[in-house]
Amino acid sequence: MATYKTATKEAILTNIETAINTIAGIQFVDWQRIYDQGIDKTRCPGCYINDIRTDKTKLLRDITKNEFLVGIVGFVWADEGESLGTVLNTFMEAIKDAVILDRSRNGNAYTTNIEVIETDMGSRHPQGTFAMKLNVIFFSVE
Amino acid sequence: MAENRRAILSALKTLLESVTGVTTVVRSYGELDVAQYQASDLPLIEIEEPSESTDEDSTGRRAIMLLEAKLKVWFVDWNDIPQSTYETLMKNIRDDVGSGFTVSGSAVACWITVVSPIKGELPVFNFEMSLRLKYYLNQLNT
Repeated sequence: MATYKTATKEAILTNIETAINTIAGIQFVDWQRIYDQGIDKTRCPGCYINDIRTDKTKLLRDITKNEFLVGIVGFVWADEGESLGTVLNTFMEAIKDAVILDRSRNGNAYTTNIEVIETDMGSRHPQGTFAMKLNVIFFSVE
Repeated sequence: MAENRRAILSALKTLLESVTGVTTVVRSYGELDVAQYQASDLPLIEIEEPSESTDEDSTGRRAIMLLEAKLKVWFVDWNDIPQSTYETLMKNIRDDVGSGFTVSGSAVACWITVVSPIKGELPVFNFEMSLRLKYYLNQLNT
């Protein structure tokens, strides 16, 4: 039987960042950016964690249910002789495994679900990008 | 003891306020918006405005009235299976209504009939208890 508690968006985002930072070989993690322009090879593989939207349902005056949409924009660089698709897929898998390893976000969330993953299909070889949307349900006092 | 609707419901409210673990008792005349309450106000018993009829079993000259009320019990539980809180609250209410069978001497009888399963979602749950209450009608216009 699981027990839950209230939390904040910041605690959720910090936990996602911590989870992603455990991925072996990751070079760069930052918050609240969309475009990967200006990212050089030394920062790949890396990602941005974006706070997209929060849908709130008031359950009590001091308990709110939050459906928190988090966007992860990931980017990789394929060296010569490497398949961009393989590099991209490997990094996506690593992010996916890292964020769902603990769906409770260290006890801060009710659950975490991956809603969708989209890629640029390797259109900017040797750089590849993907976007992952996470739906995190958590409770807060406001 | 002859009573009227107002007095008998007031006595019922007082009886329920003494139930162990219950924090708030309110009478509702429509749908209660529980989101107006804080977590510290719960467990909360909502006495929905009861239907009223004359008791058909009455053989004496004095009218016995029958009130059929529904109690809605709201509570907060951070466990995803709130069975323990549900059972404790239900038992406490049943025990106190059972021992207060005459509602502080104002009723002929008062008993709980049907209890619903747990409804709601984490962390705000509720269940319903049907209650039948008989009392001698005070013929005064109050």
